[in-house]
Amino acid sequence: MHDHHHTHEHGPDCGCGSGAHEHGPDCGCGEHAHEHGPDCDCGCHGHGNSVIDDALILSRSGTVRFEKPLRADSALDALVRKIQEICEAVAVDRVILGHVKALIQCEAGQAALSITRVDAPDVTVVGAWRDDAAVSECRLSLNILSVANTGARESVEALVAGLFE
Amino acid sequence: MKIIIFGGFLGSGKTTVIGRLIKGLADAGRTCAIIENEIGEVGIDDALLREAKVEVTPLFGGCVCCQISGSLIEAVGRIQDQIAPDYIIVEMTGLALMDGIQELFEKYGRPGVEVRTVCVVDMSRWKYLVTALAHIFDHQVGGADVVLLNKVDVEAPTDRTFETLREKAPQAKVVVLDEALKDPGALWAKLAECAAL
Repeated sequence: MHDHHHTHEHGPDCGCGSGAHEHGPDCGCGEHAHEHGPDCDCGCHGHGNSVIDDALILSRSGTVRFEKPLRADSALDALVRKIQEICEAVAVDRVILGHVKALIQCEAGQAALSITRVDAPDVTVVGAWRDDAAVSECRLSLNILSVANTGARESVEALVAGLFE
Repeated sequence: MKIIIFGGFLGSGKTTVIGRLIKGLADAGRTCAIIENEIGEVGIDDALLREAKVEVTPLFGGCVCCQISGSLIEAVGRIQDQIAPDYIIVEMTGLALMDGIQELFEKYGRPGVEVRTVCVVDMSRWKYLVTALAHIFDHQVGGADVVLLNKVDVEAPTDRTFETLREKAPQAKVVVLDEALKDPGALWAKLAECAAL
């Protein structure tokens, strides 16, 4: 009489009850999705990452100070003009193939800025806003995304750095 | 519960449309929660949506269509368990490709959850969308149940626009976001009809 010893690769269907297996898109246990990426080899996507990888993406938050206190509406105008300068660096025929978004928080309230065309900034007040409030500084959060002129990154970074204290 | 996924190129107006939709839903007595996916480390869109007093879950660190799809599934599950709203609205990043998103939920989401996809198209940059940005645009409209044509006051759609959309997105219902649909109730009614919500 022989004792048969054998090893086998444990997996979800091997039936021996030891149970351990690497979760993945095809493991069948349904426990979780996996993070798709260039190395995930699930074949679910091919080019999504390259669009994001190749884009110019820059985010920055910080304090912007004015040389002297300004009326809130003037402060907002001044900030919008500065941000438009940044937009010009990534625009194609004054159109951004992406967007520049900003959130401006100051004594007067909050305002959101969205620019897709350099000459048509869209400013939306969030909640209450007082045009006549005196503003000497504000908190600015800035997101710049562009799929064009991505080589302009250094000049965009320099312009952004110049905005904040 | 239904999931409404909003996609569309950067700056197309997704957040504004969602803000309007939220009001329409609230007026109709429906509840919703928002998942906000932004590329970039700074949350701006979620600050805008929080003003509408809606639960907003931000997802940073990548794009849910490819890099952090697991995070999206988890966030949906958490909201289902903790809030159980009538609708979960997902705002994807402007670089997200929508044509795999339904499959993602079919494969990894909970059974019985219906997903609808809406692509917001910025008519003011139409000529760039169909040329320089075609590699992104095709995969955004191509995955949509409903295509919303936005900023039509800047550039009105033409017969050629609709023809192009029929070629790229034969499955989609196309809606022009005209002045009438700036009313939140009208927008909700239109979307509910077109996307069977």
